[in-house]
Parts: sequence; structure tokens; C-alpha cells
Amino acid sequence: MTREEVYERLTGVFRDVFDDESIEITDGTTADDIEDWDSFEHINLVVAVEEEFSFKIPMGKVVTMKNVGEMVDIILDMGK
Amino acid sequence: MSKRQFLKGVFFLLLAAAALYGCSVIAFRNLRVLNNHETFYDWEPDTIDVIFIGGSMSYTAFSPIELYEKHGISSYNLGTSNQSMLAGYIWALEAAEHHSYKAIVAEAMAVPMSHGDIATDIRSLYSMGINHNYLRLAGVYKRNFYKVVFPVFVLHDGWEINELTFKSEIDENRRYLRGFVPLASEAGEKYQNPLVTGDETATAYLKFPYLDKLREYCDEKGIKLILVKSLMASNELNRWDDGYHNRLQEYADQYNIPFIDFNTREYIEAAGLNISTDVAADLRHMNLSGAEKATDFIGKYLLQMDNIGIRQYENSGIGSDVIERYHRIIEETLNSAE
Amino acid sequence: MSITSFGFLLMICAGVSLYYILPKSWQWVELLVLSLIFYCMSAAPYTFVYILISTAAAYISTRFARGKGAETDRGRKLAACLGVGAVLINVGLWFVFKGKGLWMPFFGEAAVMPYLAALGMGYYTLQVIGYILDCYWGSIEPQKNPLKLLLFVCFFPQMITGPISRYSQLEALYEKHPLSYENITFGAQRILWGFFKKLVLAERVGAVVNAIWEMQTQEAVFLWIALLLYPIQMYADFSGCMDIVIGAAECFGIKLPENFNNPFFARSIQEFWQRWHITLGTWAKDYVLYPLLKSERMVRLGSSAKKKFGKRYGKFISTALGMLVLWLVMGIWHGGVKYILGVSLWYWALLMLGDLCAPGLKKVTRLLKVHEDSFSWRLLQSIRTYLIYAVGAVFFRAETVGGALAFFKNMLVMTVNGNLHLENLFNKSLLQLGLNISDWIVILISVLLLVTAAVLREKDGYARAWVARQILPFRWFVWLGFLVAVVICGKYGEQYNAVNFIYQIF
Repeated sequence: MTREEVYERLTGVFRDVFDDESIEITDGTTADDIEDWDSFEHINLVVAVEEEFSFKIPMGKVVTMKNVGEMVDIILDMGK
Repeated sequence: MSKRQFLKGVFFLLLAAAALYGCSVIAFRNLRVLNNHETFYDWEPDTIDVIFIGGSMSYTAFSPIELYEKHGISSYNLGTSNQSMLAGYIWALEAAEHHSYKAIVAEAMAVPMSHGDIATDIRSLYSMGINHNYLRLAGVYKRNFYKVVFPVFVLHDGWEINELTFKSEIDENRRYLRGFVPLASEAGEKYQNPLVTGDETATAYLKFPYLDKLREYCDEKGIKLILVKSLMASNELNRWDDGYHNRLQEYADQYNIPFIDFNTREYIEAAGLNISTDVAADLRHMNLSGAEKATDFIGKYLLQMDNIGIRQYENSGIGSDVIERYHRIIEETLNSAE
Repeated sequence: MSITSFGFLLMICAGVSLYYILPKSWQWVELLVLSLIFYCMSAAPYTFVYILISTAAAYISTRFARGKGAETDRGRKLAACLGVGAVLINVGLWFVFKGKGLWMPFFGEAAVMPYLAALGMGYYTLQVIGYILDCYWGSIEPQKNPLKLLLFVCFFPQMITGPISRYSQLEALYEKHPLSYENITFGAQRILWGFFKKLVLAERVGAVVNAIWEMQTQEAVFLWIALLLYPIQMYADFSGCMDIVIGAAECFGIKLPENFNNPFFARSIQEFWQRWHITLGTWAKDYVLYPLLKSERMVRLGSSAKKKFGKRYGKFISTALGMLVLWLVMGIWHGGVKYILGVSLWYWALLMLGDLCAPGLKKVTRLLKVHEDSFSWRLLQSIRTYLIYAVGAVFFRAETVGGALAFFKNMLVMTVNGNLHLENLFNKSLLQLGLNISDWIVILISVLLLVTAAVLREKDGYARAWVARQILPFRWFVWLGFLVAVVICGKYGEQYNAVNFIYQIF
């Protein structure tokens, strides 16, 4: 998987979870940038990402990921 | 941490201690307690020959002005509410620094209370100010020494701080009463029997650490120590009975100290006392009429003791104006009781 | 040993003095010794064995799980069992001792009561479980030194009342701390502020609330007063306690996490729980909610719900279920059946209701062109938050569920029947409740001070930082002022039995 591919699929997940077709994400996007992304939606997002990419993100990383860039790194890591 | 910061810290702590001390001095002086002895310090030094110590039973039973009028003895009553023997002992030390008194009359109710609780003791001594004698309390109440040094903390022990705490309420009359507090009510016909019946088998287990200290101090300074027990109508609230009497008598005999227990038939007759009319309605304190008789008796007793050195009618600082004012206060008390 | 006692202050002074004299590698040892001394002066020393059991379970399981033995398949299975076992031991201990409100009604009081005092178990148990889970999830490396782990578990400022810390937040426990003017002064200021809140404000308000709860009044206005004043007592008591605890730790150079952040400024219930008892909420979120929602079963449940009821309601159902578990845990942690009503169900129901109505309400506010950022709107939201909390708090104050419900019933019935008797606000009956006029004035001034500090904090970070920026005489005036206020207006002393910190029982 390339980074771009990940972004493509990830954007779809974001738009689905937050019910907003206009969402765009970059490496630096954080919870502050998206209105509904609170600690509760965070886990929903993680679950949706796990479903989309078919693997489990370890719990330890769920809380520590700071922005979308880190999330993408984790996805790429897990894909290997 | 730099030197400057350290100094700042130390200086702040000193300021904090000063603030606490300031609060304590303010609160200390104006504690709402029954007995303010600030006027004790108003009398000319070395004019007082006899002091009375003890609790409320002492300050209601012995009137210094009465003692002067009848027998010419200059005295002062340093009794305070619930005074413990420890507080009484400290007052004795304090008084000695201002007057070389010849005799000290200790009311026996204080004796079993070797030391009271810290709040009461601080209150008993408060009119002394925070001086070296007062600070002896810190040596006794070691863990609570901070309360002794900063008495503002003790305001919280039992008394609520309220708007009266910081008011200055010095009762002007006290300077004419010399520590005496007159009571006007009567116990009533119901009370006729002395509390001490003469049962020689009764005992009580009592220890008197501060009475010992006082006795030793008096021996050292050549002061005559006299133990008295004021007349009571009932011992329900404050225990006094044959057991206590015998124990104190035993102590007094052991150390050759006069012990005058007004609750015995012997002294009731000798002083001409009458329980139903000489004890106040609360059944524990002597009233005005009882105080007159008790004071009179003590006066006679003091004068017939050998070699005490009491100066009669000499240098007492008690002028006719004082005596007049005293009688007016007494009259007011009697009138308001009706 | 109460943390508002002179003895505790002495211990801090002596401890801090020694701390900065010791060789720095011994500082954590001193903290452990202080914690042991503190424990033994606060509870029967033999009960420390429960802490030892908790710590041992955590130590053994985590060391094995991250050690060589766990690299085989069999090893991994064993590690998992050990982990589950360790967590269960902790939960079990907690259930027997602190959860007795839940099982005792079924077994009768019996003679077990004396053995069931376990200081701080509610708090350190959560810390230990968090530690075990963090190790198993790979977020942290297990602590190799069992004594250091023990220090993490029983660190004295926070052991009895929280805040509930993560292991990663307390690494400072083992670091070297040079003598720092800021640590000591900031810590001392914080402790003083906590004393002020607890002894001057919380105790006073508590006197009124207690008086009202004890009197059998027929006049509803008093019940309303009790309802509206109790949150102030709770906040001042609990957050004051936190200030003392955090300040004490700060003197030693240890930064504990915050537990309060102006909770009544919250604009929604969700936000409220991010501002009130913060560490409990985040603990429950990270160690209960997240693992639950991430689990296979929940995920499957979520997708089937979405298929059946549509995306929005399907999500709502899985959310509601997850939140219910979360809230039940938070309520049960408080240790009594009444908390399940007053904490769990009350807030869960309101949150779910809010969730369902949210889109509708948003339309309404947009229609009415409400200025959502205006002071007045936010004030309204704060008032709503306050009232919601006040209702839930009745379950803390009442002894039983029945007591709380009776309180509400009386209050509403009397009000509806016209027994409100508002005149009592003006006719001096408020002075019959154990407080005189100067006490009420002190309450008023204290609340104003708290609000001022809260506003400063909301804008600028800690109010303390604002004070630190002023000129020296002003700063010293402020701190000396608080000191004098605590000494004079504080409710302490031998005849006065300060209510134990409310949150000490958990």
C-alpha cells in the first residue's frame, strides 16, 4: 500500500464516521480540526479504520496517536 | 534555588509568623471569657499580700475588698473559669513577679484538675499576655505548642469565632472587684446537709502534680499556702465528698498545710454559714452572703497565723473611692437579682 | 491522619526538608517511607497487606508478560492468564472491601465490618489495573523494581483520594529532583488554597446542608437551599482536597494530573465529566470503554445494529450500550447501590437523551438565532449543568436510595402544595441553621473568590500564575490573606470534627 492509497481509503472512513462528505485530511489533522471528533468518536473512528483495513490497532497506540499522520504511519506499519 | 529566593522564602515565613502572632494578640486580648485580670496589673507593685487562685468557686467565694475592709489585708482574686492547678500555679509565679505576697489561698476544686485542656488553660492565663510564664504552657502541651504560641488556633476549640471575638470588652467594674464575682441567688431551703459527713473510711485516688509544684515553690519563697474548699449545696455537677476531703486532708497533714473545708460541720459552724442561704441557685458557688462570711473567716485565719508578715491597712492602694464603688456594684447586683 | 491536620503539614515540611538534603537517587526511597508512615498513621497497619497483594499481582504478571517466558505461544497464553488473574484479584479485593454496598445487603452486616476498612482501595486499585493493562498493551515497560512499583501504588498524597494517575504520568517519582524554589512555593500556595476551600467554604456550607437534612422541615424552601448548596460543598471539598494533594506532591517535584477544571463552566454533560473528577472519567474511558468498544463482540453488535436500524440509530444503540457499561462502572466504583442511580443511570439517561435530541435542538437554536458564544447563553448552560449535577449529588448526600427519593418527593410535593415559604429567605430563619451572619458573609466572599479564580483559570491557565505576575507586595498580601483567612475562619479544632473528606470513602 502506498501512502496515497491509505489516504484515499482513510478519507472515506472519516467521511462515513463523521457523516460529512466535505472532510479532507492531511498528516497534521487532529481532533481539534474536526468538530465531532471527541474522545468518544475517536474509538468509533478507530473501530471503523480497523474494519476498513482489516487489522487490529493495538490498544496502546489508540490513545497515543496524536494526528492523522501518525494514524497513517500505524496503518502502513501494520500492513507490512 | 538562588540565595535571593531562599531569603525571600525565609522572609515570607517570618511575615507569616508575624501575621499569626498578630491575629493571636488581637484575639487573645479579647477572648470572651468570664474573667479578665488585666486590672491586676494596674495596682501598684508590691501592694498585694494575699492572692486567691482556683476556679469559679474561688472567685465567687472570696472578695478582696471585703477582706480589706474587715481586716485590712490587701489581696487579689486570680481565679478564672475552670482554672486548673497548672494555670493556678502559673498565675502564682506571675503574681510573684509583681507582688511579694505572703500567702496564697488555693481553692481545692482546681486541685484534682492537674491540668485542664489546652483551650481552658490558655483562656485562664490569657490576661497575662504571651509572656515567659504563659509560655510554660508550651512545655506542658508539647504537641500542641503551636496553639500555645499562636492562641488564635485555640479559638476553634469549643468556641466559635463570631462577631464578639474581636470586640474589646473590658468590664470596668472588675477593677473595683479585684477578681471577685458576686452572685445574688440562693440555693433554697431544700439544702441543709454538709457534703462532708465525717466518714473517715472514704478515700479517693487523686494525684496533685501541680499542687506539689506550688507547695515547693511556696516553701522556697517562704509563702504560706492554704487550701480551702468553698461551700457547695450539691455535689452532682462537681464532685466533692468524704473521699475527696479525706485525700486532701491527708495531703495537707503530710505537708503541714492548713486545709479549710467549708463543707464540714466544723467549719460551717465556725464561719457561721448556712447552706440554704449562702450558696447560689446553681448549688455550686457561694453567693454574696456566703462570700462575706468565708472571706471574713479567712481574714481572721490569716491574721492569727504566726509570722506571715501581712501588712494591715498599709500601702494597699485601695482608697475610699474604690471601696465606695465596690459597694455600689454589690448593691446593683443585689437589686438586679430581685 | 487527615490531610487538613497540623500533623500532615508537619510531615510535609519535614519530608521536603529531608528530600532535598538526601542524595538524589534516594529521593524515591524517602517518598516510599513517607507513604508507609502516612498509611500507618491513617489506617490499621495490617491492612497494608491488601496493597501488597495488589502490587504483587501486578508485578508478577507484567514482568512475566514482557519477559522472555512470554515469547512462546504457551508463554503468551500463560501471560494472558496471569494478566487476567491479576486484574481479577484487584477487582475481587475491591469488590469485597469497597463494593460491600453491593453485596452486603444480601449477606447481612455480620461481624465482618471491622476487617472491611481498606483505605484508598478505590483509587489505587484503578491505578494498578491501569498499570497492568498498559504493560500488556505495550504502552509502557514494566517496572523492574518491586519497591518502585509499590511507590507508584501507594504514593501518599494521592493514595486516599486520587487523582488516579497513569504510570507514564508518574515517572517523575523515580527521577532526581533538584531543590526548586518554584516547586516549593507553588506547592505551598496550592496547599493553602486547598485548605481555604475545605476549611473555610466546604465546612461552612456543609453545616447548613447537614442542618437542613437533619431537620424535618415542612417548608420546601429549605430543601431547595440544601439542593442548591450541596454542589458548592462537594466541589469545595473534593477540589480543595485535590489542591492539597497536588500541592503536596508538587513540593516534592511530582506533578499529579488535574482532577478538576472549572466543572460548572461546562456547557454540556459530556463536557462536565471532562471537567469533574477528570481522572476517573479518563480512566474509565481508556480502560473500560475503549477496550469494550474495540472488542469483537461489540463491533459485530454495532454492525448488525446499523444494518437493522440504519446508520444513525444503529450507532446510537452501540453507543448507548457502551456508555451504559462505562457509566455502570463509574457508578459502581463509588461503591453503593445509590450511586448506580445517582451517577450511572442519571447521567447515562441524560446523555442518551441529549444525543437523541441533539439534531433537533440544534435546529431550534439556529432558528432562534441564539448567540451560542454569548455570555448569557453560556451562563444558561452553566446553570443547567449545575442543576443537573445538584440532582445527582442528592444521591451522594442521602444515606440510601430511599432517602434520596424521599428528599425529592418531599421537595416537589411541598412546592406543589404551596409550602414553599420563600419568606424564610428574609426572616432570619437562615440564621437558625448553625451559621450566623458573618458565616454567610464568609461563604459569599469565598464563593466570589472561587469564581474569580475560575474565570482567571479559564482565560489564562492557573489563577496562581496570574497572582505570580503581580508585584511582590500584592502577591504576599494575597497569600498572607489566605493564611489568615484559613486560621481565623477555618472550621477546625478539637471540639469540631471536620467532616472527613467526602471522597475519602471511595
